[in-house]
Amino acid sequence: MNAAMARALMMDAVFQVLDNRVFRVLVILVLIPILFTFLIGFRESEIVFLFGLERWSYDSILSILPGGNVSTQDMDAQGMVISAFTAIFVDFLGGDLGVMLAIAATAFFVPQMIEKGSADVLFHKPIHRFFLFLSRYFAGLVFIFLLTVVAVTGIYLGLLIVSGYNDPGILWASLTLTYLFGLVHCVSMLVGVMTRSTVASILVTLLFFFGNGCLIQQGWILKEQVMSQQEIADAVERETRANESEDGFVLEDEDESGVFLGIFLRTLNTLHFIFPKTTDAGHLTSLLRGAFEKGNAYEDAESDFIVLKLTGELEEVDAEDSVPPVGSAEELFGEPTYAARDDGVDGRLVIWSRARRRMTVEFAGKERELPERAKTTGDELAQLLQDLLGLDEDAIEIDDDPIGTHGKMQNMGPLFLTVAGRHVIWEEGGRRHHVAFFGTKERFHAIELETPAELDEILRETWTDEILAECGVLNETSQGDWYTNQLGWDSELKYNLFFSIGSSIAFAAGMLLLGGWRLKRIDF
Amino acid sequence: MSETIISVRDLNKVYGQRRLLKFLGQGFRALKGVSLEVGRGSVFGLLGPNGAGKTTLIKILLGLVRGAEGHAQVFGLSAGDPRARRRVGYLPEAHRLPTYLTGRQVLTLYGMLSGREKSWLEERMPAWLDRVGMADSADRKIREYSKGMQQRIGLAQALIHEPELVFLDEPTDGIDPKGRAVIRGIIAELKDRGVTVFINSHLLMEVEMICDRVVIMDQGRIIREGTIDEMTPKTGAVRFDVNPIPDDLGQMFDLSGTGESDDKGFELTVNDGEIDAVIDKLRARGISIQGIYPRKLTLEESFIDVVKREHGE
Repeated sequence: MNAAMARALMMDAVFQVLDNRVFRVLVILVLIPILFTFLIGFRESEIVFLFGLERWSYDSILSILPGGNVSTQDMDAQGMVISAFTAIFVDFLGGDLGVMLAIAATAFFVPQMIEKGSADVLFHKPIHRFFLFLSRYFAGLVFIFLLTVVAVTGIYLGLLIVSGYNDPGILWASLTLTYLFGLVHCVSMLVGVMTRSTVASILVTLLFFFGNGCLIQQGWILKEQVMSQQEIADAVERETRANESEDGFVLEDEDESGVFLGIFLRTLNTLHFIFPKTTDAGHLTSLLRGAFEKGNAYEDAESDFIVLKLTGELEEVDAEDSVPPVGSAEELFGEPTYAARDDGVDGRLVIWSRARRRMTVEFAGKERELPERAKTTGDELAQLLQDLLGLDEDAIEIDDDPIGTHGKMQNMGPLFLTVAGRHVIWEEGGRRHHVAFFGTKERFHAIELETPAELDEILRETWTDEILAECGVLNETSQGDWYTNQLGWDSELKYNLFFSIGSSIAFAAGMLLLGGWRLKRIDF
Repeated sequence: MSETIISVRDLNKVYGQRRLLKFLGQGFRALKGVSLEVGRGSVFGLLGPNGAGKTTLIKILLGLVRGAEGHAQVFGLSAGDPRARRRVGYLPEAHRLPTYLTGRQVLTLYGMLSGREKSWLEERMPAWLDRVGMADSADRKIREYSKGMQQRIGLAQALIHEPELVFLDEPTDGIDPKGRAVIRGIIAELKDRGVTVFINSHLLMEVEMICDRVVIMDQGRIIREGTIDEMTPKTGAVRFDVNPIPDDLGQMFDLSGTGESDDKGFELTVNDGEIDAVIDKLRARGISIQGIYPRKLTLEESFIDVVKREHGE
């Protein structure tokens, strides 16, 4: 195939799309939300209709709703309304309804190409049949890409110009929606070449879109979230019991899942890994949009531990220079993964992280290998302080305040889980050290706060409480948020975006190769 | 014969045959040992009743039908080879062009798919559009074309990239008499330029007028092959166009056997020596002789005769 042939195929794809009646109808439909964003302005405290003809404050709108007598003074009402707007028009209408309509509108591409009369003219040309097949796939992608570019760019400009809301991250949606459509369009292509029927192609593809998206992918995410939450809940419960027990250890639970449940979960895993991760496209948009937003000050993807933001005059510094507050205590603290300094109070914050250790101990009548707990590690540090620094037991303050109890809320409940912690506080060399140990899943953390010993107690307490209020383990009860947080470019394989995209593209490539193989065998 | 462009030997094609059932001989045998050769610059006619295997043969040569057994080459390359297809133009029977394109866009698309650059095509396009009588309608969408217009633009797409070999399957289908004359003219020009034309048509008069050689196929086999002269031999009868027609024509000549008469003349089975005697008789009666023609079989008569004999009728 030479360059002229490639250009001809592209030209044909574009002309085929532009002449498509459904495409034209969809272009008109996407103009509706764009028009909406130009006629209605979502300002910080009010909604402005028709360039100032009518103005409604968010409070007055909420007051007419049942139970809506709520003040929006402390809320980002503008952000919330626009998020809801984009969720409806971009995520739902674009992501679900838009893809369905695009499936219906493009399903005829292949059956029409291979019907008698059309096929003879096209397939006698000196081009491999597979490239002609691919050109129809490309036409489908052009179809959805043009539509989404118009919709997303229009909405972005409308929000920017009329509402003064600049969210360039929304522009990623045109790429992710095209990617999503590409994953299902390949099924439409394969069914089209197998059955030569547009109706069959539409029905099977819609069935696949919903079956794969709603049952396999959403089912797998739900399973993962339930298991993850159960794991965290169990871990928190064990930490609490361990903190309350005399020696700081508890027995681990045994796996009691049945055979059938095991088979079901393995089948679900297999299907999830084979089929395209269509639901990831929406999360991918969220992640890509996040690239334009300010994230948390610190987060540990494995344990879900985060520091929301730096308070007071804290400023991030290089963590690598940090040393444990007690010499030769690296084993207790692990690696310094985050550090910040506050020159105002001459204080510092260091987050230490490592894998949870397992310890061989005599427990419940026999020798066992059990994971360390906040209490055991806190007590270990207290003992170390006595041994190495010669501190009296009375000079070491021990506290069991849980981590993440400051009450910050999100859509579905508290932002942080209440995780058992062990605080060890002591003074040495004119500095006051406050170390809070806690563990989640297989990770173990220490929040180290260091201030001058002579600092005003009230000031120190406020400073410490404000920092600890920003620290905690995420309580991810919202499925969407939970899964988005798991996904990442460097996450473990099952949550890894490279794997998600790679395996989905491999599926699409497999479908196209199968379609190409079938097309090659057809006698026209 | 000049350079061989198409070479087919002992070609067989069975549709609907599954590999496991091959030994049972199942499936429909569309071609049964077909052999033929077509030389460069000739106009070759492929005739036969419906289902004879004509279109299958063309599609095998173009790579549209695969899995045939035997030898089939175009330009010395295996049938369906892209290098050979680049040098070929094809107007299929009952073709369907993309309705979302204009006539001009169709020519650009298919020309480029044959490997020609857009600029190269744009230089030659006005001449081709003019030649097929579509210059005024070139910027209208295909969906707005009549059947005849689609056939004309279809012919242009088969020729726009200036192929060396052209397959025309029912090229005059849906075309009015004036248009048919234009197509005959185009085929004559192609022949003059050394282009090989392979025609499959049911309009035998057209084939007789255009083709150098014809092949008659039936039930997947070639049952007759030859030049037009060989396919339309003299019958031994002679037609005399006269004025007036004598009332006692039956008494003057023996009209039994092949003899026929109409209001313009009559036909007699005579040898060359007897023609003078007939002329003398007519002149003696003062009858004007307006024409004397040795009677040949038309291609249509020859075709029907051959096919009937093949079927034992």
